[in-house]
Amino acid sequence: MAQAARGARGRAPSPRYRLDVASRAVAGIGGGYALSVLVTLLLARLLPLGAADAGLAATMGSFTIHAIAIIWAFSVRGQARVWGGIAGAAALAGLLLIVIHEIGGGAQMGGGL
Amino acid sequence: MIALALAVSYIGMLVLCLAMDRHGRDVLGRVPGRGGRLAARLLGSALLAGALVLCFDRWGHAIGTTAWLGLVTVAGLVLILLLPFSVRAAGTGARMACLLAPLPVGAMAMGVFAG
Amino acid sequence: MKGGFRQSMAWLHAWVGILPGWLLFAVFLTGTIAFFRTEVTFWMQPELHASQPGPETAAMAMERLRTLAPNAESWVVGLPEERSPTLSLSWREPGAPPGRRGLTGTVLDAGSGVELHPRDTAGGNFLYRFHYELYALPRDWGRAIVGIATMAMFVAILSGVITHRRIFKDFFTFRPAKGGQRSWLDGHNAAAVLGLPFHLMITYSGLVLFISTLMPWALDDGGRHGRGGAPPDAETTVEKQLTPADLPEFAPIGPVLAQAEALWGIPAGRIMVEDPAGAAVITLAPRRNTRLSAHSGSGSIGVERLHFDGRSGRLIGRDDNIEESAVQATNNVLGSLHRARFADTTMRWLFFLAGVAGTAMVGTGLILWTVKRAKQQARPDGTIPRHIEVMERLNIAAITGLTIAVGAYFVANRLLPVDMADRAGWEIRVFFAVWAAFILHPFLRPLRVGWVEQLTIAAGLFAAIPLLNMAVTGSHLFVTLPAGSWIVAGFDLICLLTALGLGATALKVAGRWPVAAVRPSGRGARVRRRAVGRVE
Repeated sequence: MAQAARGARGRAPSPRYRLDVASRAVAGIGGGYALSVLVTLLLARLLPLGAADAGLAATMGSFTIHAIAIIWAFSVRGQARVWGGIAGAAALAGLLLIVIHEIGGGAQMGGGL
Repeated sequence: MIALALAVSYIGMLVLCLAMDRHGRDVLGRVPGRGGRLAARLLGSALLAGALVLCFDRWGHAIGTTAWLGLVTVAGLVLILLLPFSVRAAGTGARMACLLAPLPVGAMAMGVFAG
Repeated sequence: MKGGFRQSMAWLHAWVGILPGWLLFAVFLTGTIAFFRTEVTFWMQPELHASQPGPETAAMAMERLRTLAPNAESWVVGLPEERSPTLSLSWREPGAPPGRRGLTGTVLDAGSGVELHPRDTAGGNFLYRFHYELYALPRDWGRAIVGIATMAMFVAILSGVITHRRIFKDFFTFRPAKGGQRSWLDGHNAAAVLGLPFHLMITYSGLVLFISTLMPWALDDGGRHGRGGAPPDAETTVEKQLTPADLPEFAPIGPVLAQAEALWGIPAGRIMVEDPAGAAVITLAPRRNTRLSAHSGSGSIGVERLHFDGRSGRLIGRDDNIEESAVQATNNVLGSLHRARFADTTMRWLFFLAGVAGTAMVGTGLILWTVKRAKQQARPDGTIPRHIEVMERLNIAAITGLTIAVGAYFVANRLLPVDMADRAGWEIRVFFAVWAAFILHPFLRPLRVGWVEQLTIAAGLFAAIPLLNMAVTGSHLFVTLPAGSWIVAGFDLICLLTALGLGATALKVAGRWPVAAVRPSGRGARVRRRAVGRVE
């Protein structure tokens, strides 16, 4: 991003700079939202609370996760890390969600509706 | 009671403010020494804590904490708006008078509202 | 990642702030006014201003409902209180639809019991709803747009805190005399840092209030579809018409209210009577929430209730959701803080002032964005790039343009004919028409002239409001101040203060405006700024 910021000082931003910003925005806003949804669903299953409480607690916290994802997307160096970090975290959350669903642990853990 | 809590918050913020390099120099004409600064910080914090106790007394713990944050914020805003005037005034006395002006004015306003 | 992280956060702060910034300014300004929405509505109905509650107000209300609505299924009494000293009565006729639509009602002078006929107004409610649903958009769209802007606000606060590392060193620093970027930056920091607890609270709780729009995926959807109340009972048949004399006697209402006040610590704000001709259960709601963690409810009155037997006056039940879980309580606290549902008059003023600081933070942030770029990117001939000029014009439209629209909304309330059809609708039309005009205006004028003209018009409008009150209503400052009618007097005084602030800013900008100062006219201004700068 330091590179990108330098671009901002110039008269007209280069196409490369624009692409860099657009990619980070998509990763942070769109990817970050998807990530926060997955983590919220996961936490709604995992938190040791009643189903409604766990869902509400996870949802109330979800905005912090999204905000951190956006900050990540606009601060780390290099597109690979931007996308790798967000997609990796989302994949991990998604995978755990599937595993929990498959072993049917959700109900015992208080996530069943 | 509320007027008192606001006044205590304001003086607390003022003391904390004068313990800072720039504001100490601007208003008192000198940078406070290390001991003075420490004492001012302790006094300022104690005053803010006192305001918190007054808020607990009036509103209970939960709403009192909210009220205290609000009072400290408003006290700080008043202070920030007065500092530039005090900086322009000549002499430490005049500067302090600028900064302490809201106390009697506030007390009078509270009196009007109460009466 | 030493300088890099902070630098990228500064970049993020600037962009995440400017893109939804104009909308955020509108949300903060109208939302701040909405802390006083009941008071604003009261001010907008001068026909109500003479109402003064007396000791017999509640008893009179019960007596009046007995004559007005002996057949009703239920009665509701809105008691006079510090936010609106009138008495409102409403009732549900047998077979009337559920919810608010089914209520018939009237407003009385709380002292004399004379029926009042207040003018139709969109009131404080329009500004309140606008701040989270905008206007004329499908409900969920408006909420989604404001919700996304709120998320941007949250990221802007976080990145702003990270960027501003000297946050405590600059805590009290504000140097208006320095002029230019420095003053705007000081003002922005001061409003942001001092109000930080409020800004974080209002932003995060705003997000949490929007969860069913922004993040519904892990929620029970019961709440979402449960809106609108229970379906109406199958055909209520009216057996016979009752007369007031057919209704059995009620227990005196005074002791019932006194019991409630003893239990809550604050007086009741509303009396509800179910089946007044039969079981006659009296339910009371407090004026405001007694606890921070009480659910703030979807209406203006929370969920805390006391139930009494209407004939004997005995307490028969109490519900105030004491048994809610910690998570639910946290959710309630956030909603309750955002809506200031527990706030007495002092707290309400603190919220309002913190809201003013928030509005100032967004406004100065917008101005800072253009001032900084105008300085950086000024061409050798003193002109600035076109896109920065456009941003600056949009700043004028969003900041002073909206301020003028709000002033015009209040003026329209006083000037539109009282018996006009769809009067409330016309107040809103005036608001948007005036705003549209002042969004266009800066594009037709040079930058500095645009600012000065709009600031002057805004100052004039707000100064005109108390004067207009003198001309067209009987409740102006010379009446309300001696009478101690602080709701109406407070509104007028705030208008005068606003006018003073806007006028002073107009004068200051007319003399020196940083964006304009880098243009060719800047020689005199630059010299003057250097002179002022020396004072420090």
